[in-house]
Amino acid sequence: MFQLGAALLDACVLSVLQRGDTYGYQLTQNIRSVIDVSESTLYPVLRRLQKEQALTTYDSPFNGRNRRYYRIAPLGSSRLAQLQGAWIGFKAAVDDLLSETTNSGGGQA
Amino acid sequence: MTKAEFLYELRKRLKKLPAAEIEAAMSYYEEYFAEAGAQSIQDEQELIARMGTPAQVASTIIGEYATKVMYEHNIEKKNSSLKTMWIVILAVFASPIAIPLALTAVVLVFAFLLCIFSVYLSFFAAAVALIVGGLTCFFLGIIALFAEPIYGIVMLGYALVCLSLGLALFLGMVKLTHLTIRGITYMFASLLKRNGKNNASDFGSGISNGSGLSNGLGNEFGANGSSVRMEEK
Repeated sequence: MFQLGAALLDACVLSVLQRGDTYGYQLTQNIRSVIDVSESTLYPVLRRLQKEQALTTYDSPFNGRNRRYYRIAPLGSSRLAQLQGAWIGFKAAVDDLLSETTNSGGGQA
Repeated sequence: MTKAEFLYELRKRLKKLPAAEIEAAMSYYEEYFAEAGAQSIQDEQELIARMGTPAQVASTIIGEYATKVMYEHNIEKKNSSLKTMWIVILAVFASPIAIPLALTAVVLVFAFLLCIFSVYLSFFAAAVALIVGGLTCFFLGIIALFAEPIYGIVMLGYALVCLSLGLALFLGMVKLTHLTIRGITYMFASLLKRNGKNNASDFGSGISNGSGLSNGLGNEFGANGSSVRMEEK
C-alpha cells in the first residue's frame, strides 16, 4: 500500500550500513526482512549514494566468488542523522493526521 | 528464463549507458545472483521470478542514472547536454508505463471519434438531399397539377414521401448525435474521475508537498527526488 520514496530508501540503506559493512545481497535481505521492497530498487540507490560519496566500496572474495562490501562514509553518517531527524517530524505529522481522522468518526467533515 | 539469459538481456538493455555504469550494474547483479544461487537453485529461480523482467530492471537503472547525470551536469557544468538529453529520452521510453503508449491511445481515440462523426455527417447530407429533392418535387407537382393533374398528383405524392423520409432521417441524426456526444462526455468524465481517485489514494513517496503537512521537513520526504523515475504502480 505504501511505497518508500528516494529519501526513505536512502535512510534505510544508510542505517543498515551504519550498523556494519555489508554486501548487496545481505543488505537487501536485511531490509526485506523488515519491509517489502523490490530487489531491483536497491541497486540504483546504492549506486547513487556511492556517487554522492555517502558510502565507499571494497571487494572481499568469499568461497571463490567476489563480494562487494559497502561501508558508510562520513558524508553518509551525517546524511543519515539528517534523515533520522526529518523522519521523526514526518512520522509525528502523519500520525497526527491519521489519528484525527479516526477520532472525529461520523461528525462534521 | 535462466540466470544467464536474464543477465544477457539486462546487459543488452544497458548498452547505451557509459561503460563504467554498465560494468558496475552487471557486477552487482552477477554477484547478487551468485549469492542467491549459492543458497540453492530454487532460491535462484525464485529470485528471477521476483526480480521482474530485465527490461524493468534496466529501466530503473537508466532512470536513476538520468537524474544523476543531470545532477552532475549542474554541478560540474560538463558540456554534454546533448548526451544528457538523450539519456532522459531513453529513460522515458525505457519506462514500462511509457508515455508513448498514452500518446498512442489519445491519437486512436481522436481517430475513432473522427470516423464516427464523418459517418454521421454523410447521413445528414443524405437527409438534406431528400428534403431538398422533396421540396423541389412538391413545387414541380403543384405546377404540373394545372397541366397534367394525374402527373401532378404522382409528383406530389413522391414529394411528400421524400420530405417525410428526409425529415425523419434528419431528426433521427440530430438525436443520435446528441446521445453520442453525451455518451462520450460521460465516458471521459468517469475516466478522469477514476484517475483522480487513484492519485489521491496512492501515498507514493509520502504525502505530497502541496498539503503543507510536513512543517518544512517536506523537502525530505514530500518529493520523490527523481523527476525522471517512472515506476509501475
